[in-house]
Amino acid sequence: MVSTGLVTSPMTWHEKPVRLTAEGLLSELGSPLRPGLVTAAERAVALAESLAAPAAVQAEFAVSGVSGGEVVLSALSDPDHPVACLHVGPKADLLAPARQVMIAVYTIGPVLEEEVRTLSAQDALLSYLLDSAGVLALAAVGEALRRQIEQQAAERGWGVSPSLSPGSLVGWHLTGQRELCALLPLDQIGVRLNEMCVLEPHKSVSMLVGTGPDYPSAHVGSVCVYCSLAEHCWRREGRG
Amino acid sequence: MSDILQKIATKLYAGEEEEVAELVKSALDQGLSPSEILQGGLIAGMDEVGRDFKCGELFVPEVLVAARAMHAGMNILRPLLSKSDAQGLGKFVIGTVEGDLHDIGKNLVKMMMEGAGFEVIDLGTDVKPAAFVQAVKEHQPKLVGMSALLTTTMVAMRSTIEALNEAGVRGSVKVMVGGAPVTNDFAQSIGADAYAPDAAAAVDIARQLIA
Amino acid sequence: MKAALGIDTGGTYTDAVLVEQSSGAVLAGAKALTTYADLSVGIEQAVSAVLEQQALTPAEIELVGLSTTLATNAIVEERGSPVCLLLIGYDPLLIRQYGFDRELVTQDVVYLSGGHNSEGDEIAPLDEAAAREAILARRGKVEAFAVSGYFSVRNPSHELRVQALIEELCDLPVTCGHELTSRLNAVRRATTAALNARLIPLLRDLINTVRGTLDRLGITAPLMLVRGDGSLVRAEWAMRRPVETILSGPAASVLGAWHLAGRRDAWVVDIGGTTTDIAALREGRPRLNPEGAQVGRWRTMVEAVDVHTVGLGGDSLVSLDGEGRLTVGPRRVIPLCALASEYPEVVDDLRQAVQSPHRLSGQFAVAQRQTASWLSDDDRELLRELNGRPCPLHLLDQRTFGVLVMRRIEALEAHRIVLRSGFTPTDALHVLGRFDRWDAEASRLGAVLLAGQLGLTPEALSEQVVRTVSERIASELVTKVLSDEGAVPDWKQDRAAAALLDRSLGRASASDLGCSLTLRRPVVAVGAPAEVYVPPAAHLLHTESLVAPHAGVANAVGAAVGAVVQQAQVSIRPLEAGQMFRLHLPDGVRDFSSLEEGVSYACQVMQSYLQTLARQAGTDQVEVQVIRNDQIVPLALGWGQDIYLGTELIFTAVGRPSPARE
Repeated sequence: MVSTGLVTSPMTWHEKPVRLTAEGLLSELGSPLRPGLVTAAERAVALAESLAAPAAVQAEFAVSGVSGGEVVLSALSDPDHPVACLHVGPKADLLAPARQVMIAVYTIGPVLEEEVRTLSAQDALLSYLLDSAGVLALAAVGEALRRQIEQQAAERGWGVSPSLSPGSLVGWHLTGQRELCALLPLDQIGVRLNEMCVLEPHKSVSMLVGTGPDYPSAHVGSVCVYCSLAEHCWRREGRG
Repeated sequence: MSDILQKIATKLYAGEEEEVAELVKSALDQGLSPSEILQGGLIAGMDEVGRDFKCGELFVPEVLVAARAMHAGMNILRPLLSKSDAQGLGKFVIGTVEGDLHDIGKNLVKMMMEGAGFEVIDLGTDVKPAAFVQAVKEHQPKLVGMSALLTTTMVAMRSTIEALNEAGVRGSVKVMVGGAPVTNDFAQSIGADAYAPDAAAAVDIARQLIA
Repeated sequence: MKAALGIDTGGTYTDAVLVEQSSGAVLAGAKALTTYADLSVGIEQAVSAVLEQQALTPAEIELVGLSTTLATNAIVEERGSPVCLLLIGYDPLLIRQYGFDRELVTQDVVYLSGGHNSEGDEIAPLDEAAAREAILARRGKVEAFAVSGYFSVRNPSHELRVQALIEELCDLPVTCGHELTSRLNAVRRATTAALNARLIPLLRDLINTVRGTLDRLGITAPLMLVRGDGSLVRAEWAMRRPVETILSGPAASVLGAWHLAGRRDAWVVDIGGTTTDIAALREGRPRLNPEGAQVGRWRTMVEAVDVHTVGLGGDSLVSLDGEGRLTVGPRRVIPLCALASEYPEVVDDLRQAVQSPHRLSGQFAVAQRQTASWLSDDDRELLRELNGRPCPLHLLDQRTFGVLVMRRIEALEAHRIVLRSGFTPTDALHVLGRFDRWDAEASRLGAVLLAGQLGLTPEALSEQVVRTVSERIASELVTKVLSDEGAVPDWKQDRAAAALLDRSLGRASASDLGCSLTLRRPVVAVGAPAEVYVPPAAHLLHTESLVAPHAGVANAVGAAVGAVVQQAQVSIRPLEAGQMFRLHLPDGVRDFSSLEEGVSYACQVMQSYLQTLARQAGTDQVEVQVIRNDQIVPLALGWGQDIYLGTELIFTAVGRPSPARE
């Protein structure tokens, strides 16, 4: 594994990053709050809270340069020697202002999605709601990480880029996961990248955020508008 | 359409599974045939669900509870239906392709297709091309549906169509594909018969393909 | 002077021509009747005749090109020698369930474990022991083997292994599926391989006989055969892949049309005695059917000329249908004029028929041979009555043969024991004075019989017959073009379409609506009666018609002027989500981490492969060209990238046939 970035030890949460509610879940799904649905949603939320086991691993790199759709990274301790080159594509210029990048992979563990599979034959509604609750829980973990990155940046007087991920950012093909995840010790949080470039457990996400004094924003935004799944996503920001 | 069938459709749409079961029993007592109840009550109700889902008025959880209500009604009718009525519009084999574990979209298609009166054989996820061929051989369906949600697994759709071709059975089925990265262009390039953008469209397209 | 001898054995006639190599001029042409049972007899007659005409010394003949219907006929008639079909990795239950076992040509089918998948990976090891056993058990019992493996076109290694075993254990010819096509459908590949194996001894015999004939005539030039795509191959090659010679006749006629009319893009209409063949000439070559030729009941995978065959020809029977409409064909008969030339009493029979108050057809039955072992006693008696003389059909009814006599006659006709004679377009031409080879009086009387039923003069009837043939040709051209373009017409069901077609052919002059159809390419006509029927047909479609000089022997010309064309394909496909690229080569698979590296390798390797292939096929100087097709499909909007599905590299080697070499 390539990583010579500064890796923080794997993080786990003992405090829940956020509380999910049945109403919150249903309204995220655009669903009316009918009694039958609310009951099922409550069960789903309770299960999600007990089955989710959030964990993350991060690494920080110096940015040597961004050009031609490629982002060249080097170790913080040795910025003159590149250690990795990520083929981000046309939207790499979102990272042009970056002095450093923070790369992370976070997960809620395998147990929740196993339960989703088990339930799917017997109770399709609960299975679906549990899966959706898992997605929200995962998002909450991501949010918590992003807050940390914002805080660290703010302490230096730096701003941040939006959050980028291969397969979700137009131009950064899913196969880019290989290069990105090679930079992190995924096994430390029980995550691996499979042959189809998908993280296992499935409720896992990789992300890259640029930080630096030249970023105007203090908030890690989304790139939903550039995302390949924009048409299909139920969680898209800014949808009508 | 008779009153009671109308009620069954309405209750199904609302996801009231116990009421649907009761009404189905009543309808049978009233002397309506199982086939009439299936077509005029259950399938008619799911038809409405599909229509409203397609235009964004209903969302997935509501479709799921409606499907549950349909099952409740079907459980009562099934032992009473003749073999041909049970097969309905025909058999539909569906699966998510090799290397891909996404199943929510596929499950939705399955529910909508059952709701429309197809007999669905669900092969699950990570289905190898040879398994699709075996399923065609075993069930002799009219339609085969494939789902893929990753750009890295889409190509397996082509491998499956090639396997059907090589086995000599490609001509005996219509092949439909779907999933977020899939497009009409892609479907045509790999030799599929149709592309369905979502579960409700899948039903309309399936009906056209077997017409 | 150097010349090429072209020979074509058609349904009715065997033609021979001499073509001067340098100028391409046709020096001589001759016809003989095709001797169905032993083609080489008719071949010898035609070749002798053409040599006499030109007074060329046999040494001046550098090349002999032969196009023959042997393969097509043998397949249609289910003739051929016993073969064993070895299937690797097939599912016998599936085969039986779908009735595919009826497509396997032979009953002797052996299922072996093994086979590959679409990526070319082995799905099970080849059961060599079982293969050995099967091969040994059949030594002395079969004349050839056919081997077909599941997905062998993605990886031929199992087929090659079994082929090697057969060559090791016995000395019999072997055909492998992957050699005949690169397309998918394991069942159709098995059909094609089995048909090929079955034909090997038949073609070998023909080639040996023709070689003997040529030697006797002092011709030492190499013998090459025409394939169904119009290209030439050495006789030795054709002996290994005889199935590739199906449809060589129509292919040769397209090439002949190209050579004689000097057009590279045209529709070619070849009118024979029995059928009319319509095919497209594109860029100087016949356009092929990529789906594979259907011959008889078999769907092969041989890419041969895409020919549309219609049961309409110079000797088609003209009759009136149930509603009194004039129909021509599909049945072929002896023209009345030709019959009368041999049997003058026919004219008297026709005169009597004309004077009869009944409506008589003017058709005759003629017995060809008196005996065949399987005939019933009644049949033999019938034949004795016919006594080798033409018998008017209406007289048969009056004899005490019972009501089924016509059906019995038809059964005998099917076996060519009895032939029928009747009014044909050839007769119509005699009536009109446009043709005078045979007895025109018989034609005239036949015309009177038919014309009387329609209230026409014999001349008017004959004009109508000629017009009907031209109109049919025009409408078949329209049918073919529309079918190729995806709009298969159903003239019987689609009344609006049929009405428009009628108007375009001038059949509805009273209508308020006229319709004009334009064929956007010229029509080149070949075949003996071409100049009569095709120009009016082309005129109806507002296009130019060219009647090729020497139209009557165009097929033989095509056999003499063909080139050697060999093709091979390499597929490249992405593996492991785009990290690897797999090449599917003629001898196996090979992986590369870069696409362009794979392409370079393929180009390099296939150059020499094609050179070798072309040399084996019969040419020494080749140009190998590559066509590259990258299949890239755009993803849904917003995904920002395309999906690479693969690359096809098509290598083609073309060369003139080499003169005699040792």
